[in-house]
Amino acid sequence: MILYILKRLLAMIPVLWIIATLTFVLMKAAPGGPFDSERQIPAEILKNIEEQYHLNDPLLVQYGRFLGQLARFDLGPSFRYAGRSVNDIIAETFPVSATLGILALIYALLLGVAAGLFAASKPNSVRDYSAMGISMLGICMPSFVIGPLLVLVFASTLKWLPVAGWDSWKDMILPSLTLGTSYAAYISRLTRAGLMDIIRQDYIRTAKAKGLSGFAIMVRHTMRGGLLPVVSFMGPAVAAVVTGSLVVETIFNIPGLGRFFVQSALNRDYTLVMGTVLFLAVLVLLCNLVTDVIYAFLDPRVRYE
Amino acid sequence: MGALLEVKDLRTHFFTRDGVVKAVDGVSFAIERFETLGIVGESGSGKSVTMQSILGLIPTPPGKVIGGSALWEGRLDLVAAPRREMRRILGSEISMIFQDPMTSLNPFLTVGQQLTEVVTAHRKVTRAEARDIAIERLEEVGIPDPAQRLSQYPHQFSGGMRQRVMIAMALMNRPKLLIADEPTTALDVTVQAQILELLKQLQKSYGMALILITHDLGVVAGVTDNVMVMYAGRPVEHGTVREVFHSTAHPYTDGLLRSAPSLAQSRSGDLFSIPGLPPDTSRLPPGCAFAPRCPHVNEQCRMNVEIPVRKFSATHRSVCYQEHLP
Amino acid sequence: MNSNAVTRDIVGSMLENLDQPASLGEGGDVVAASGEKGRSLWQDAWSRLLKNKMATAGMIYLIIVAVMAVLAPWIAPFSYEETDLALGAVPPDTLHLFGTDDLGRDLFSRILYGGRVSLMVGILSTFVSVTIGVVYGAISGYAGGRVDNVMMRIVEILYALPFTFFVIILMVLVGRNIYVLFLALGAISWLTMARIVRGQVVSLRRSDFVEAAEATGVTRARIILRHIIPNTLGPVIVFVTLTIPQVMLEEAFLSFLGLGVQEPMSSWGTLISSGVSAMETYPWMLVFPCLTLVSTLFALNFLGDGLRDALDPKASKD
Repeated sequence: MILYILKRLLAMIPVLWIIATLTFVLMKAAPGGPFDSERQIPAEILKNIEEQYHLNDPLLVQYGRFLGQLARFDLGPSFRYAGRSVNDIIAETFPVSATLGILALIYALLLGVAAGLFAASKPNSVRDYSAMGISMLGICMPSFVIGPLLVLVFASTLKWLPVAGWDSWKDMILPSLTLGTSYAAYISRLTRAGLMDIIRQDYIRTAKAKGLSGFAIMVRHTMRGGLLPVVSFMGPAVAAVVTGSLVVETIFNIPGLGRFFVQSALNRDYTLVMGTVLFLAVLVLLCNLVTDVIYAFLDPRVRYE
Repeated sequence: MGALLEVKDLRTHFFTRDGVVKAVDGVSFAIERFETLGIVGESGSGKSVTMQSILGLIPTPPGKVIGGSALWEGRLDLVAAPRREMRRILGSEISMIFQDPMTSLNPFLTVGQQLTEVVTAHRKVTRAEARDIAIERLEEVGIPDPAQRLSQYPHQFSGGMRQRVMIAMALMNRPKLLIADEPTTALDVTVQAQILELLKQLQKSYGMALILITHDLGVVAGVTDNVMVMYAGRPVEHGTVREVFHSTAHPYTDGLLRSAPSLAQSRSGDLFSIPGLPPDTSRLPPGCAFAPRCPHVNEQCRMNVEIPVRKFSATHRSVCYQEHLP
Repeated sequence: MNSNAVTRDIVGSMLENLDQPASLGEGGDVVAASGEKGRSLWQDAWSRLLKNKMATAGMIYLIIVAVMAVLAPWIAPFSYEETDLALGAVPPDTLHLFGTDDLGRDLFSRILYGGRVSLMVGILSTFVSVTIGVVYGAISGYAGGRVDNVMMRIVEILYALPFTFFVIILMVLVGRNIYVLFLALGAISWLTMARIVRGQVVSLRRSDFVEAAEATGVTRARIILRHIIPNTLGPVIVFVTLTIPQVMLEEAFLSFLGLGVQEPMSSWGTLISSGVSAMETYPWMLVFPCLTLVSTLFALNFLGDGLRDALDPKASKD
């Protein structure tokens, strides 16, 4: 198992190299640099700045330096936020995004699994159809629809919760609901499908023939296998939550990594964009690895060399 | 005291999109303590559904037991019993083992967990006691190193070994009746004989009744005292193995016997098979269900809705107009 | 929310059940039943689809929406770009069904025109993704062996990439070109398609009729074109109906961030985006575009679900 994890970690290196190269090429191929947008900067100052950031070196030299820094986990200085490194900015903004993402995932898991169990406990009944209909609606409601509607109702009209910001626990409720709802909907469908698949299995009939109670069959025999799809969904879900935070942080004006990414992309802050993409790629790859390892622990048939 | 289990006019129908499938349509039989009964028929003849209906294991919907009774020890109608009562009996007084040991064991639980839960669900015992019983049973069914095997998962067992585990699981509470549904069909031929021998021997040492469901008359001949032959959801012939094999009364049984390949036939090169296909039980003909494939068919077989039951002895009866076949 | 990972996964799991081609499945009863009535598998699927009320309702709704969007230049009561600052934002009334926006433009007309863009993005991007996915998957599955291994490894690696970020970078760099948007969205959503097609092809490859074709010396390209692709049609159709809503969501997502379609052109995403900034004062500017987008996605998903059940009776829930 440890060998397997090491292998997977090593395999991440070429993937990250590809991502790094891709973003580098994209950024360099872009027309217009980070310093030629708003006002006219005198040519000399511009030259100074570019020298300071080594933008006049040959591309290959720049690329080499970029990779060298990466190997030392140094993502370089930000072009736009003078005097601050990309590492600093990520260190400052990521905890905010992580808090939001974890809250959203917990909410999604609790609601999703509960709704899935509720629906699967009586298949093809009114409760099943209504739960699955609502979950379909949840899947079709993107965060940029749910978020503003929640704000409209709970913040603007009822004034129960703040419209935006990130200061107290009250600020966390609406963004987490916004970010988590579609995953809750999706997890409920996964849970239902997973459980229904297991209920059909022969070994559930065996369990019934043993005289076990319905509760024991559900908890001991059905849930273990029925929730495996939800477990394997957790890897991709983390990636999805990371992406979703772009919009949610924008809507609720939350100082997280997602909002910084959107702004830095619009500002052509090369280093910050590349640094963020690489950081998130590592995060996603690690989450996938963790998911696979957990899966192997839960399913005795899966064993890694 | 009456029979151990007495089934009367059991009917189970499946309500599907394409119509009502009368999987079991009027089955009656009884089994005494220590008796061994074979239920024989082609796939779709309703033999498995009969037993699953009695134990309340029919998937509902689409299936539903719409009539009949199954009296257990003369005191409880299993078909009408409340679920709680039913659960008390399942796994303790009546046990069932299924056709495919590959899919009938839960892949996510260790064999030990699956064995011991049968005991703890029915009796007040400690974990250690349940574990001891599990080891004892595994030994009895011939699994080496039982103590170590307990912590393994089903996929670490071979097919034959898994079926032995299933048998051990069924015996955990010393049942009065063991129902084995095609216990050897999914196994290798060499393993089949071992499992049958094991069942036969355990039936004797445990002093329990055994119902063996199979499509293979040969299997029945070696193991059970009595046979019930089913066709299209109904019993067509019932008697001791000797009676059914040697003074066969029903043309369908005759067909089954003749289509079993024997050495003599394979040398001559001709294999017998019953003409036609097993019927679609959602569209049965009005008279005898076997009439379209029967070599002895006549008008009354096709017209009459109720075919008379002929009794040849206290134990032997057949649902057919035919006298004894030559 | 709408990351590719999730979209891929939703579609993926919805299609898992389709791994086995229905026409070759061992469901003898199914084949026999349809054979008895003398109907083809497609006719059978069609009649099953019509029996599914939600799917049929979804289909009818989609046809209405699509026809209205296509006919927008003729049926829209007002222009979508002419502003009327004197009029300003008026709430819904009989003249302006959905009200007007803060620049005095009729919202109903803008939604009709926006539908053209949103639906076009959905359809064209899905077309791109299906093309890439089918070709990639068919080659991988048909080639088998080492080629197959490598190609599927690549797909696995690509699954792990945060694609939406690349699309965002791309849109910033090339300046919100709508055709680049089609390509980019299509290029990031083909992975699941490739996997499904590969699965189908692998199981078809071992089937009798392909072996027969091989034995009679038909070329590989021809076998892929004539035998394998037609047989993967069922899953592909389901994939298409489920991918269109995902891509539309993605487009709306980008437009919401200000990276999609540009003014005065509008998609449903840009309408929602401007609705959000005006929702405190003119809530109808948010509500109507949201309703349109969500109801369309709803209809597409129900149709997709219905198609999946209709094309693979074995996988239907019970």
